[in-house]
Amino acid sequence: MSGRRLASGGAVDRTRPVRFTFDGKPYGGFAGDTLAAALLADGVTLVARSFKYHRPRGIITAGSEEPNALVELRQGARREPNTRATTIEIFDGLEATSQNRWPSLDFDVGAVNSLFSPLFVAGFYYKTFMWPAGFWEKVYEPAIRRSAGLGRAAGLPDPDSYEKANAFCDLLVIGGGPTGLAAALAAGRAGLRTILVDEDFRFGGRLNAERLEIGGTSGADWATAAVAELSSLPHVTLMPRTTVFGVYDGETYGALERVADHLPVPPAHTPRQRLWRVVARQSILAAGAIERPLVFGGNDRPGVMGAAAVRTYLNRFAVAPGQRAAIFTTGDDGWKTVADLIEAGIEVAAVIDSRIGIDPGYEALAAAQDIPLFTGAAVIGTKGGKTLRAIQIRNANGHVSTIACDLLAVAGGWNPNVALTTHLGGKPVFDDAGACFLPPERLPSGMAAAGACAGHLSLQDCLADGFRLGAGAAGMETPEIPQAGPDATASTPLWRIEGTRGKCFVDFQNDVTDKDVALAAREGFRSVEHLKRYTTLGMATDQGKTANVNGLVLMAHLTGRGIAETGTTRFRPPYVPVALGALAGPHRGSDFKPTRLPAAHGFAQELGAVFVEVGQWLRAQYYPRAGEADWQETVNREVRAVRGDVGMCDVSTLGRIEILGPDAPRLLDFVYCNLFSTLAVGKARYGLMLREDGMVMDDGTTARLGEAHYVMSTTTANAAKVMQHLEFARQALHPEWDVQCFSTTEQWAMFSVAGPRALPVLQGLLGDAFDVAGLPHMGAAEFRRGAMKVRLSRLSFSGERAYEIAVPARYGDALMRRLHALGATPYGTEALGVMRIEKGHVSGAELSGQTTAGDLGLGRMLSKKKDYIGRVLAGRPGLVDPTRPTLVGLKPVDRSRRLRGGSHFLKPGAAPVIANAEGYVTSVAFSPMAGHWIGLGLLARGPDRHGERMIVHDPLRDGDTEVEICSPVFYDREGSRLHV
Amino acid sequence: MSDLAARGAFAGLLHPVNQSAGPALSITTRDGLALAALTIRKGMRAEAAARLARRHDGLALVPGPRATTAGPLTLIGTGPESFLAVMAGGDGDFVDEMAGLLEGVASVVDQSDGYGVLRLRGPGAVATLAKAIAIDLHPTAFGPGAAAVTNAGHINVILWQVDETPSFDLAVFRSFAGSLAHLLIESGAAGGIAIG
Repeated sequence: MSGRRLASGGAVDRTRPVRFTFDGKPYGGFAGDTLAAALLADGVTLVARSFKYHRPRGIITAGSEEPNALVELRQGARREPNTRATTIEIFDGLEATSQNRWPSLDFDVGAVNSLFSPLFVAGFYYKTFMWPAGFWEKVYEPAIRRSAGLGRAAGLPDPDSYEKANAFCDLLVIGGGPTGLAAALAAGRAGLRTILVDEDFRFGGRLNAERLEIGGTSGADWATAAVAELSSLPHVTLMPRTTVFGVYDGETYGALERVADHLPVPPAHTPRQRLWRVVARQSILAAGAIERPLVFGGNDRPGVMGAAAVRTYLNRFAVAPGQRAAIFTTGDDGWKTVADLIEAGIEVAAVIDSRIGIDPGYEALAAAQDIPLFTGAAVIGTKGGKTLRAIQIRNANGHVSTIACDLLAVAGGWNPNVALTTHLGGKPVFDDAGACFLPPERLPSGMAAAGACAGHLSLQDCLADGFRLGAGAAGMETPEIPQAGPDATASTPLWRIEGTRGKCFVDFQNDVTDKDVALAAREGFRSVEHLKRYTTLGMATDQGKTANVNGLVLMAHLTGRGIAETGTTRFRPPYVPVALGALAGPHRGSDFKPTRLPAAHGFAQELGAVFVEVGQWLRAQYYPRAGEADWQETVNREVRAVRGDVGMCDVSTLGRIEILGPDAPRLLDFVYCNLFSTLAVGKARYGLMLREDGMVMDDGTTARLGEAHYVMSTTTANAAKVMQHLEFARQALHPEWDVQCFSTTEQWAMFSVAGPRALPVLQGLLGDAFDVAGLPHMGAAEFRRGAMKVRLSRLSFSGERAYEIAVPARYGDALMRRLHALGATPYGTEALGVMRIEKGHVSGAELSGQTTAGDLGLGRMLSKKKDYIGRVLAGRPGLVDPTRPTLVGLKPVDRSRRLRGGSHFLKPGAAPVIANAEGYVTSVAFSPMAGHWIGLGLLARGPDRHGERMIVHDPLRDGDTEVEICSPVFYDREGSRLHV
Repeated sequence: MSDLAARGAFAGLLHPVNQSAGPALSITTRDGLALAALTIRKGMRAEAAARLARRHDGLALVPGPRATTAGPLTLIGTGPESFLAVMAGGDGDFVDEMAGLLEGVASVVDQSDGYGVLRLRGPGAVATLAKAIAIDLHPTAFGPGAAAVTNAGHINVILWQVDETPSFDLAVFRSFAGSLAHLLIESGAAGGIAIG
C-alpha cells in the first residue's frame, strides 16, 4: 500500500486483508473496502477513460451515482462491464480491469479524439454521417458501433443463476441512512411489517461517512445500534445490498438484491442476484441526496473529487484520497471536509469559498491552521496530465493564482435524490430557497419523501422526518427524537463560473461539456427534453445523476429563463443498471417457459422418440429405429404401419372440454357453425367453430355422452383459447343459460389406435369390458373396466379404421406400454401429418385465422337453421367471394420433385411477382402410399381447376416446380378403409 | 386391463436437496386423493350447500378463495360458483358419489388425475413459495383456510393453506408437474428440502 491508508479509524476490518488485481497488477485492501476505496488507498487515481474523448478519469463519488470509475469485473463467462468501482465490495481474487482504452489505461490511443473535439460536438453524428444516404447502414453505423460502448460483455452463457421473489409489507423504507433508520425504527417499534433496503452493504448512509453525533454518540455507532435493534424486531426485514430501482403501479416496487456479487463465486444453491417485486402499502423514500459537481475547466481531471466523497473515504474507509488537498466550496459542506482533512492530518493547500462574507468561524479556522483562504473566488482551471498537480484560482478581484495540490474537493451543494418520485410521471419542482429540485407534489401512491431527498439536509431534520413519517405510517404520534449534534448545511449555489480554462464537463459519463449545452441552445434545442437528446446529456448509464441539474441550469441561463421555467426531465426505471439475467430470473434456456408432458412421455422417451414443441407441450414427432437413415424413412415406416397394420399415437395434448347442464346443446349450437343439439347420445360429430369475424377459429370432434353431457375436443394449439371462448359465451353472452364447462384435458391420457388391425388390438386390450366391434363409426362410449373409467370413440384422422381410447392419466403410461405390447406401432406428429394430408384433412397450417369455412371446402357445414358466433360476418361479400383461394390438392408433374410449404401458385409463364400469385401451398408431405410428394394449398377458384397445371414458386429454396392441381383427398377417396 | 399400473403425477420428480441446511422445507406428494371439480348451477347454491353439509359432516360451502374442511373432504373455491373437492383417501367412486349427491344442483367432473397435489410444510415454505407465487402468504394476509387460484412461475396452480405450521397444498395440472417440481426445488434449495 502506498501509505494513503490512515493509521486508524474507518469501518474496514484491518485484520482481514484482501488481495485483488486491477489491470493485472496486484493490490491489497481490507474487508469492508469498496474497489474505489482500496484503489485510492493504494494511490491509484487514474481508473478509467471517458466515453467519447478517452480522457483520463478518476473517482469522483463514493456511491452508485459514480459517472467515471466504470470497470470490468472478473474474467471469462463471469466478465461484467461498466460496474461502478464505488459500489463494488472487494473480495480475495477479484479481477478488475479498466475499459474503453487501448493499448493501456495509461497510454490510450483513443485520446486522440480529444484533439478533434471541435468536431465531436453535440449533433456530430446527425450532421456528419448524412451523405451519401446509402453509407449509413453499410459504413457509418458499423464503424460508429465499433468505436462506441464502454466495456465488453462476456459473450458466453452466464454460469450463475438468478432468482425472482415477491415481498409484501406495510412499509417499505428506501434508503438506510439516518432518515431511513429512524423511519424503520419508528415503524418497526410500532409493529408494522417493515422492509428496510439500502444499496450499500453497510447501513447508515452518511452516518458512516461523516463525523456526526446523535444523542451523544457518534453517528456511525448510532447506526450500528439502530441496525441491531431492527434486526431484533420480528416484523422488520433488513435488506442490504439491495437497490429499489423502479416504482410501478399498485404500490409495487422493483428491487435488485446483489446476493453474491461480493463473493468470487456464488455458493451452492445461491443465486448471483435476486429480483424482488415488493408490494408495500406505504413507502418512505429516504434516498438521500447526490452531491452536485461544479462546472469549471478541467473539472474531470483525476484528483478532482466530490467533497462529501472525500469525507466518505476519510471517515468510512480511513483512506486519504490525496496528500495535499484544496477545497472548492459553495457552502458549509466543504468546511466539513476541511475539518476532516485536518483531523486526518492531511495538508490543506487552500480553501476556495465562492461566497463573500462567510462565517467568521471558518475564517478563524483557516487562519489558525495557516490555510490560504479565497472567498468570493472560484477554481477556473486544473493542471496536470493524468493526475491533478495544481489548480488555478481566480480571487474576488479577478486575480488568478496557481496552487499545487493533488486533490481538489468540490462541494457544489446537494441535489435531492428524487429519481424514484418521478417514475410514475411526476415532475420535480424547483425550490428557489433551497436551490434544488424537490419531489413532485403528487408522489407515487403510498409514498412519502423524507430527509435529504425531500430537501431536508441537516441531520436533525432527517431524524425528525424519519421518526415522524415512520410513526405516522403506523398511525402513531411522533416519538421523542434524539438530539443530533451540529450539522451546518447552508449553501449558495454557484451555477456558472465565467472565464474558466479548458473543457468544463457537465455530464462526465457521456462527455457533454458546457459548450455542447451552449450549442444546443444556439441551434434551438432549448427544451430540456431536446437538450437531453441532442447532447446525450443524462443519457449514460448513470442517467445523469450528477449531470442533469447542472445541464438544465446552464440552459436556463443561456436562454434567459428561470430554472423552474426551464424545468427538468424525469427519471425512468431502472435507477441503476439491472442485469438482463436478473430480469429473466430462472426463466431462461429450457426453463424459459414451463413444459407440459403427456402422461406417457417417459415411455416415448424409452422408445427413443424425437420430440417437438407444440406450444408448451412436448409431443413425440417420430420414433426412429436403429438402421433408419433419416426421419423420412422413419415416418414412411410409421405411415405404412398404420395403413397396413396398426399404429398408435398419443393425442393426450388435444384439448378436452366437458360441457354439462341442460343448456349444453344450446351452447354448442351457438359456438359451432354446425348443429350439435341433434347429435344422438353415444355419437360424435366433427365441428367447426368460427370467430365472431366469420373466420374459422378451431375444429374438432365433440361427443355426446348424455342428454346434458358433451365432451368437446379442440386442437392442441387452441385448447386454452377455445375454453376462454366458451366461458365468454356462457358467462357474458348468455348468462341466462344453465350450462357449465370444465377443462379435462389433464384428466385423461388419450391414444389414437388406427389401422386395419385396430379392432383386434382394442379387443385384446378391453376383453369383455366393452363390445368394440359393435361401436359404429363416429360412435362414442364411456364405460368401466374394473374400477377404471374408459372413454372410447371411433373416429379417424388418418383415414383408417381408428379409435380414440382415453383412460385416467395415471394409467396413460401403462396403457401405451400395453398397446405397444399388443403390436401397435407408435407414430408421431409427422406421420399423423402425412396421413391427414393424404386424406385432405385441414390442420394448423390451413386453420391460419385467415381462412373461412368455404376456403377450407367446409362451406356446407355452415348451418342455415340457427344462429351461431360468426354467422353474420361470415356472410360479408369479401368472405363469400368465389375467387377466394380455396382448398386444393397438388402433386408435382415430375413425381421426383419435392414440394415446399409456402410456395406461391403462379400460372405457367407468369412473372414471379405477388400480383400474379393465385394462392399458396399450405402443407406438404412425402406420401409413402402415393410414392411422391403431395400437398394442400389454397388456390383461387381452386375446386374448378382440378387437372390444371400451375407453377409453385419458392424463391428461397428449390425455385419453380410444375404441379398438377387435384382433389385434396389423395388416398381412399371413397372412405372404405374406415370400415376395414 | 384393470392391471394397468398407475403412475402419480410427481413420480420420479422430487428429490431431497441440501439436507445439511435444515431442511427448512418438506415436500410430500399427496397420494390417494380423489378430486372433483364442481360448478353450482344457477340459483342452486343454498341447496348444494345443504346437501354437502348433510352428507359431509357440516362441511361449509364458502364462496370465494377459501378452503373449508370437514373430516377427509376439503372444498376450495376456485372461481365464481366453482369449487375443487379434495377427498383424502378417496377412491374411484368418490366423484360419482359427489355427482349423485349434487344431481340437479351442480355439475361435477372427475379431476383425480387432472391435478397433482403437493404439500409444502415447514419454516421454509413461505420463502420458497415467495419465489414462485406473487401473493402475500404472511399469516396476517393468508393463513389457514385461505386459498388462491394463481400462478407459480407461469404455471397455473391452486394454493391453499392447511395449517399454521405452516403447511400449504399446491395443486397443479398434471402435465406441468415436472416444471413445477423443478421450480420448487430450485427455489427451496438454499434452505434444504426433505421429501416426505
